[in-house]
Amino acid sequence: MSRSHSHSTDFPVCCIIPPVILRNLAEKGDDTQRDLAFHVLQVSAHLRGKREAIGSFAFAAAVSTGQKRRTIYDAQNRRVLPGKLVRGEGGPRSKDAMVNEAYDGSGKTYDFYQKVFGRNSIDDHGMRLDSTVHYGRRYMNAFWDGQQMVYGDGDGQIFERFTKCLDVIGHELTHGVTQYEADLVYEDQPGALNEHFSDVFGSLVKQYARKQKADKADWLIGKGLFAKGIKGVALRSMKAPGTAFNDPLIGKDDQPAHMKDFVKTSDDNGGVHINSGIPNKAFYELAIRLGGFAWERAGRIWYVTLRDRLRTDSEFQDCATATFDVARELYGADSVEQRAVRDAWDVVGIKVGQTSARKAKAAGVGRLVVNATRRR
Amino acid sequence: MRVSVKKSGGIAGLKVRAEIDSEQLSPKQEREMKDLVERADLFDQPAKPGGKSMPDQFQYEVTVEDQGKTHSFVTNEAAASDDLLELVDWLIAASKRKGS
Ligand SMILES: [Zn+2]
Repeated sequence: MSRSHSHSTDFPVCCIIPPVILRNLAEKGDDTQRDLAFHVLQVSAHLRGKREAIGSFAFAAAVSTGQKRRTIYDAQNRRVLPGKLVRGEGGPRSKDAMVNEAYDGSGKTYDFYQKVFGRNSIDDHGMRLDSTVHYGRRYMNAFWDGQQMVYGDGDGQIFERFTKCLDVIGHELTHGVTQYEADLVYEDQPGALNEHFSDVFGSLVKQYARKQKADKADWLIGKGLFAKGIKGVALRSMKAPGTAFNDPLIGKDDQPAHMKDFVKTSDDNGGVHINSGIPNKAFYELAIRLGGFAWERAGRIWYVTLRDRLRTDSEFQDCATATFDVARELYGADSVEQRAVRDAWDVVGIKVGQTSARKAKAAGVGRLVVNATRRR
Repeated sequence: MRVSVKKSGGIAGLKVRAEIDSEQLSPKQEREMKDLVERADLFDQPAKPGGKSMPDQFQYEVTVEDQGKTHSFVTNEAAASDDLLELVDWLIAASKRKGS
């Protein structure tokens, strides 16, 4: 916790400009002024230890609806977040590839959510997209810390820089979306679903940017992330879970593609990056069955499910049943779409439909229906 | 003194293990290790992390054995101190040196 957002005070300006002026700038200034004002408000809020209170005000004030607002920070190879502000919305391109990739990638992800689902940013209320690059030394990871995206440089031996792949950026940002919607707890099956939704929308962001139809997409997550010499094409394959890499240095991709191979483990928060292979495969099967652009129908069913139907403790069966119900609501009972959803889950060993719905209700999963009215 | 660590998770979901016995180290490395272990307060770590895990952060499973005492715990990036993370990195690097 000590590391998180413990700002160094490299912005003495925060003590000179009265907050009221900052707030005015945040609300009415041009892009650069708003960025700076926002940043200073944020920093001073940190210093007073009131990030939540002031932070939410600053978000609300600095953001006008339906506008993309990106901020890129540089951690300068330390483990301090967010780091030094290096590029705001509309700011000039940097000489640093990671800065531009984080900026462009979060922009493409914002556009995807906005144009395809009408969603205004991570929280659907215009939240700023904050990213930190060059986190840690040779840090081989990217993560969502609850407030922002964070990217490491990789070590150059196993991994390249983590901003390299658009689907990885879409994956991280989607963790934010999930947090504001179903808020799936990051453990066991709910955690694997959390991972799954990040892979689904990460991949769809890439497909949307490339205007690719389902059968032309690679369905890989993080293609090009491995350094030269590593035997692997990507971190994961949604089309063929378990086949993405096999290398003496890093081991073998051990994702299952069927419930009979579900992995019980205490590693990785209960195998969240492992068992996500099962729903990933189901989504791929649905997209291929429906054909065309995967974000149009398959993506919509999944988005509505994440937004309106899942709870923090939802498991694979809950998710499958919910997608089946959503497909009926969006496209009709026994529609091509609803049948494709049922068939897709069947491929991975999860049954949905009349019989399983009755069983699920008997097991108490019927609360899903009640829940549907609570949300939006 | 023996310390083992299993690192899992991260967006790639890869597993990395390291186990180092201080008796097999050079005197200089042994001092380094003992110093890092002390700063990381290994024996005082709670069995499970206090806060919840954030998406794609690493999870660490650590076991330390010293003078007949053993302590095991699980933690993650959000909960671990900088000293603990430094120790983990050191152990993994030392283990790679040993292996190659
Ligand atoms: Zn993830």
